[in-house]
Amino acid sequence: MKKNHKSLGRTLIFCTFYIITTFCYSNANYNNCNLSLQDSIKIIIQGKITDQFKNPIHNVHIGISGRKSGTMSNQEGIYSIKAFYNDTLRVSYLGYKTQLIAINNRKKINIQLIEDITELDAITLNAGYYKVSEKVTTGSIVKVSKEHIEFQPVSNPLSALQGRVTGVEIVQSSGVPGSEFSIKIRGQNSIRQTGNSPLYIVNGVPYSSNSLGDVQTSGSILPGGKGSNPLNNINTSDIERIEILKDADATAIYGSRGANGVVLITTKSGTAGKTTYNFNITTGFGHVSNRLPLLSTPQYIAMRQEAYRNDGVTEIPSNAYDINGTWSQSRDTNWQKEFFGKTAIFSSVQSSIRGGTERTKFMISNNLNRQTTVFPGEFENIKFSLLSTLQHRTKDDRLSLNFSMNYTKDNNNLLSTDLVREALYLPPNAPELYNEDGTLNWANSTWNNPLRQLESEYSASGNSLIGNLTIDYKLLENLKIIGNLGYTESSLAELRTIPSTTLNPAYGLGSEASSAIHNAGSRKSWIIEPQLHWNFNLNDVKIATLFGLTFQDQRSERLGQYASGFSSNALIENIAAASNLYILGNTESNYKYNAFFSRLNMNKNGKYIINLTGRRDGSSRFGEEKRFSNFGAIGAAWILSEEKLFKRHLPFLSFGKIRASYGVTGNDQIGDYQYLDTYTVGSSQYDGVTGIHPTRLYNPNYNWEKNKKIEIALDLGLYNDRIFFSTNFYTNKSSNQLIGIPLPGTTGFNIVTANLDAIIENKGWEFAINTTNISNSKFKWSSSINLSIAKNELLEFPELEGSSYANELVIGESLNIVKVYDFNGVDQESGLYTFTDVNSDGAITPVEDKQTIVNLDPKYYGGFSNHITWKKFSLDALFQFTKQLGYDFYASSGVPGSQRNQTTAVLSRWQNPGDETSLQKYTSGLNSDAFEAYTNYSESDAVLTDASYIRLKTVSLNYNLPISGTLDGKCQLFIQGQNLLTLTKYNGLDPETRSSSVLPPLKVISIGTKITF
Amino acid sequence: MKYNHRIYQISIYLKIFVAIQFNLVFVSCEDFIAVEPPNNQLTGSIVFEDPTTVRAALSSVYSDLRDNSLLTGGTSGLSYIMGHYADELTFHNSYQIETKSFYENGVLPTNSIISSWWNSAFSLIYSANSVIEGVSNSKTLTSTEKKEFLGEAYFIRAYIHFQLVNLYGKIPYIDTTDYTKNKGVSKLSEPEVYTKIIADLNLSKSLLKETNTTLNTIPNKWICTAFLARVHLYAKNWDLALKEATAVLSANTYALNTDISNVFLKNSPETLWQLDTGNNGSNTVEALTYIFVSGPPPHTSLTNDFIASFEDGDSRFEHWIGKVSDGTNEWYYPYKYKINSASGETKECSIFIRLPELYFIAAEANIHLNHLVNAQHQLNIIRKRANLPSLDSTDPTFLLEALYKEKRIEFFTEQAHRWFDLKRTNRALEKLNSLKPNYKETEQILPLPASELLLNTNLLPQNEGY
Repeated sequence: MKKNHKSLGRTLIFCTFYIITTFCYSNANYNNCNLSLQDSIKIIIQGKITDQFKNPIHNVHIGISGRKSGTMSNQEGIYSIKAFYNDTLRVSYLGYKTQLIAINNRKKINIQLIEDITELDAITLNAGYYKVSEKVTTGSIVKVSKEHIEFQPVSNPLSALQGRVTGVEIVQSSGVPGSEFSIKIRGQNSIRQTGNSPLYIVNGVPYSSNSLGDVQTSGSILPGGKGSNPLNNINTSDIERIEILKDADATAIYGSRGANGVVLITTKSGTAGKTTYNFNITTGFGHVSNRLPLLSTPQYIAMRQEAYRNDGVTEIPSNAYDINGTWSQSRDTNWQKEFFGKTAIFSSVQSSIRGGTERTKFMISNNLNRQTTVFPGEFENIKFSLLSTLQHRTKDDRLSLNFSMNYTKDNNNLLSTDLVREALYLPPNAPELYNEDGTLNWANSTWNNPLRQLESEYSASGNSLIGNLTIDYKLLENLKIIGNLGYTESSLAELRTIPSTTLNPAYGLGSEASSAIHNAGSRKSWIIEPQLHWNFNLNDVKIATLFGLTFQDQRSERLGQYASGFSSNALIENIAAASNLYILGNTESNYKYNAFFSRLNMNKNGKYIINLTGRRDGSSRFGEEKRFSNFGAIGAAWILSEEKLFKRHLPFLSFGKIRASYGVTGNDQIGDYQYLDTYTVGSSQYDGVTGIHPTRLYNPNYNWEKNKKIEIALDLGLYNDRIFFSTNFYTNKSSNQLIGIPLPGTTGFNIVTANLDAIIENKGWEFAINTTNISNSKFKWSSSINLSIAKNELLEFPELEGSSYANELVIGESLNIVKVYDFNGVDQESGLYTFTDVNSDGAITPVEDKQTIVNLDPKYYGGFSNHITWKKFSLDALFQFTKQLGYDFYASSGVPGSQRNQTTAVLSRWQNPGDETSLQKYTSGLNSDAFEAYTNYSESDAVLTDASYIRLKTVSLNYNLPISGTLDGKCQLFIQGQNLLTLTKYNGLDPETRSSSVLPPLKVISIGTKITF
Repeated sequence: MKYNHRIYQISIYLKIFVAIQFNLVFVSCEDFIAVEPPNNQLTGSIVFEDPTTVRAALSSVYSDLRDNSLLTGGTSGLSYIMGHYADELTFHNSYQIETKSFYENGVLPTNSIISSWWNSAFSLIYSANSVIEGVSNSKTLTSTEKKEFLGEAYFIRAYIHFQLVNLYGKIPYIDTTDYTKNKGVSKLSEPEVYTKIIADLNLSKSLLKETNTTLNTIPNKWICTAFLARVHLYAKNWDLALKEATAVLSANTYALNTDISNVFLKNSPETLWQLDTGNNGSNTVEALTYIFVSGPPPHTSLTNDFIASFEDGDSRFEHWIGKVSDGTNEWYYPYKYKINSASGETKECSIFIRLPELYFIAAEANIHLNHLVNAQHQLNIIRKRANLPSLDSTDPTFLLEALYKEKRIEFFTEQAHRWFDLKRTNRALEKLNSLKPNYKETEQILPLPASELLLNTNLLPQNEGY
């Protein structure tokens, strides 16, 4: 950064010099005459000035060190100057390093200028098809580098981005290994919930984030019912960097797939020099940090008895086992501790070897990762990954090859149902889990023992291969062809067993009633992208062009089978042992994609930059008439700190840039074959015939969703970039909505796919400030804070009132709203919840009276991180925060007074007429008015409460162990914490998942050693 | 000049840029992105070219009827849910809130059973309409094939609308696959729906053959006639009900099973219509639902009120009722279907229509038409089979009361016969009041699904009382 300051000073001096020398030049004859008088042994030096591509540069100033004289190069880059034989030439040109060249009696000196790379320049961003320095980028690209990714004990790379990137909202869906992270880049663009995933590119190869799993196998353990997320198959410690492309300028080159942003993941590669070995061992301990304060047995029993009293029931019914004397009323178990109170062990061993020469570099890295769960029983997730890379450049520098291959095997063995729900609902006096003989206690059919779920296992075995080869051939110095070849293959085999032991023995069923669901999915895709890159100078305008084609083919297959009736439960995993076997589904789909793309970048003097990108896309996901479409964007940047005016008047401004972009991208995430009118082969039989059923309502005439993005941004570096501030404002309008329009059941289907002329706007401000607070040789402290304020709004929806969305969406509101009853508190006389009867018809009815709109989008979110280095210690801490509303505990607690445990907050319920409280009286459920009031309450604004939180997301402390002796290496010890602390008012289990029925993200503390030699 | 020259140069480069772009577009072949249809789908028009695929389309309707629809014998079907809603079953599972609210008479329009019955029913109606349209337009099917397929499809359409009109009251009658029409469809009055059901059934009857499969798994002319008799009975068209019922009874195709313990076996001669179980060796979902071996019951058992209604010596009590005791308490469960796991060969199928119903229909119509001796005779045939003494009175009130009681016992937990009989004869309030103190008259009709009213406002207003 000091260097930057120097260069600024130099540039200022140069500017002054320029003016003076121009003046001198006009009086050259006079000066020359003067000089020649002083010394007669001056010589004339001539030469040519070029850039690194051997292009001539004109108007370069050539001066003589310590003197005032100087000259400029002409159009061909030729200069000529008189000087003494022992003088030193001083060559300076904006944007290039100033060079001092001793003449040493030479008469011809050709000079090649080297671009002046400041720190900003040095940060190159991967924009996918091209690279661009952060200084001159016209697009919105955010980079997260390996320092923030590699040490985290996380299984999904998206986790490492949480709280670090503006405009990117990432939410972990559950703390169960293998569960997915939802990501929204600048909000929800599509009304379809499933049409908002960004495009993931791993080392240049598109990687589908759609799970191969099935809801029938994984639905009750992994939220979302999509099975293991494919991104879990990318080993986080192998990642070099992740770039997120957000605006039109950066994403339009991805055309129809860029509407929701692009996530580029680049893995590590080899380094030239000594072969280095690297070992990294980490062990971590995770547990659920938050538990709800539930009622104790006396409190619970009092609640139940009061509930029956309130309902006017004097004789406790025979099925109220908890209080009619069937169950012991002295037992008091903390079911949260029993069902998710264990410590999960995280362990990981990573080793890698890297090395090579300047021309050939390699790396091989492998990683073994194991993670257990907090549930009872022995369950674990084991992941093995291997990454190998090889780079080679020929001696003449013309051909270079870059090869990488990433293989991951992931075995996830879990119970098939998340126990959190039952842990919260189960009465505290429920019976013992096990009988004395170790068998499950069914307590004479008075309960469904929750641990029956342990008998039913979910296992997923996944493989993933991502291979990439890039061939780069320089035809001419400034013209090269690149071939990008990629292949990915993923497979997932899932099994969910439902043995007869999960059933109440009262049914008298044995292994003949056991069943197992198998699901096997696979996906193969290849991509070929030939490209032509041509860079040239047009006077002082540097032009970079790029043309390319994409051919992509993806085939997916899935086979679901249901097996039942086994001779023994020990054979349950074997399909051949089943007496009944039928196919749940066997599907195959093929997606083909073809595109042409190009880029034209013009950079004048490193000050004014224009970037044009475009793409023509064709996709097999549309009917024949609707397959092709065009997308494109224009971006521009003005680097104002390069202007003399700013240099002169605002010397503290080390960097300043204003950029803007506008463009159109598209979205084709609608699934394959949706335009066909077909019958699908079903899974069940009748009279020996396998049935076929209509697949969908038929509509072949839908087209791409379009997303128009506008962004304007300002980047400022102050005091040698010690304070670096970035802000931007964006507006994205998404139209031509490709949605499954919900239909009433009378149509026979729930949806029909069609384009809707609705417009959704996402706009927002993003701010990031990075500061270097202290920087000296011993102590360094830097901070960064980012904040995103986003707003989602439905701008237009033709005939919304008459449409099937009339009661779900509201023009002028976010897509992510719920319409609920307006809660009016508890009636002091009846002790029941009351609501506003909007249409005054004397009844609370779902359509007319749910008129209160609650927005569930976060109002703002961001992160705050600090990095401190002191001697051999370094400390990193990241806080993540979100301001939002969410459904609280009562939304899913069940009616207080029924056979479900509650939090202690229910103790403040209504008891006697006149009581002022926010919770109604208990009911066992027999009082239908009270039950209905509770049901309405759970669909009112009362249960939508503040779910904002600040979370200490990660803390890591590293220590570089001094190594003595001849061994040239280093040893790093580190301790790492995740989700250590959460500040929130939310009364449910976790404000991030905003749920009390899934396992919260775990609090993990891990220690590790990294040895490099 | 120099400046102009530069602009000229830029424009040349831009032209080259654009030219290359267009060339490459033409190179990128449009054929590349053409894909074959997936291997698990047939395009709609191909299905109706071949009788085998039309049969497959109808098979899917029957298997859905068996597995997923409101008529399934499992815990999500009419027999089970409406058994609790009426006075047949006691509910023991406090976790199943949705079913519990049927048992406790607190059904809300948001209840998921309400919407899943509605949706699965119209999904089947769509499939039937799709067959009707596809077969009608087919140019390759023979007229015999067309008659058979159309007859089945019209029957299914009427059969499902009949269940819906009895559950939900005023409903729309869906006779096209065109979603643009069906999404804004309005309700018809109950008599209007009945008129359409009867028209479909008469058409179906004229198209169907007398027999088609040995196990009566596919609707034939007699199944259609028997069902038409039921529809006329519900519509109080006593003459027509008697006519259709008599047609079946006098056809001599079916006979009462003399051995009461074999009534629910798959070869029972009194079965008009039963559903194939799908896989050989599978048995009924009814058996899986009701049978339990130790008490207290895991989720359901027969009500004491129902058990008490048996006369002494009724052989149906011995053969159709199962009993479990824990020493102090006793519980009873429906034991009509006895095999709740796979067997080497299928032994029992879910029966939808069996011959005794025709005796009841004829007897009830006869009472209303004042043919009291005939009615008494028909009732006594059923009583005799159950080893019960004959009735000797011909008092119409007595006969009607005896008939209701007899039918309750004969058809318990079968397709909600009990509930529909209580409802259509306006006896629900009187019979259920003692068991369900909160019972309200408006609960004879279930609410329309809340989601449906949101999506199609033409279906408003919601049924009274909800």
